[in-house]
Amino acid sequence: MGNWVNDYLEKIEKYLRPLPAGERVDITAEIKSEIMELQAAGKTPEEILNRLGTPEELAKGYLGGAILKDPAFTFRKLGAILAFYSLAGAAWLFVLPVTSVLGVSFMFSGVAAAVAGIIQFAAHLLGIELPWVCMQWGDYALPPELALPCAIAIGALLFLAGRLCWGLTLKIIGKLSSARAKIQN
Amino acid sequence: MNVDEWRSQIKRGTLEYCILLMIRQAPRYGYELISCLEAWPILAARESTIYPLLRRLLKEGFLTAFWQETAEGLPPRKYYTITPQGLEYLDAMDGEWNSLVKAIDGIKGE
Repeated sequence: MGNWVNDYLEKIEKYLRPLPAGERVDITAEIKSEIMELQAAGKTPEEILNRLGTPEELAKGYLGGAILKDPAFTFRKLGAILAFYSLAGAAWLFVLPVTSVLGVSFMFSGVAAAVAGIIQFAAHLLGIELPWVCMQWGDYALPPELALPCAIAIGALLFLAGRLCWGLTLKIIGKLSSARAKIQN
Repeated sequence: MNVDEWRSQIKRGTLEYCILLMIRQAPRYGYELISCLEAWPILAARESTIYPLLRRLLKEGFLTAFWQETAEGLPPRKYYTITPQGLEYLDAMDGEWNSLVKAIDGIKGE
């Protein structure tokens, strides 16, 4: 087995890093099996590489599918999105990381705002004043009773904005994947 | 005149159907499926299309896979077989396909 086969498989394995290890091993084993099959049929390395496409192309097919499979947010999926956008081409280099990172940050800030509101309200009930948690608009600080519903409402809005960005990210990837399928088939 | 765009849409819609049909006949491995499809230019598809498609069908529970040693000194092959759920899906696709063909025949017969 030539050195190029190992190089090729290593590259695929690298691009597929966002996928679970077991799946990665299985995918590379299957591709290796086909390469050996083609070699045994007398194909040259050039012919084989031509047929399989670049490791990037091959890996992208797997990553696109894994991302679109379910719409829920997981950190593994965020990794897959970042890996996908790095393979997706220059036009989307800007948009995808922005929408995916904005989505995650908004969702996080939404939860954080609500939690901060609850902490402050609980502290207020216990008679403790926490100067480092307060709801402030310019110079005017909301009284703690008003701050809690306000924090939860703002938290909900931020979270919603995050979900929207996340949904947009998945939609763009869906579009890119099908555009790619069109080109290839 | 260019029918490439239309042809690629047809291919995209029917590749899954053709792969399930072939796997229903007998357990198949990826390279075998791709070689069979090559016999018909309208269905010919690349590895980067077929392997991810097979993986999706696995995850959706329509296929299962097993590795098998080969006699000719080649590395093991990954064979795909269809599940009862896959058979059900394929039956539904058969129904849709037959009604499409009938509809087109009907339109042409006018």
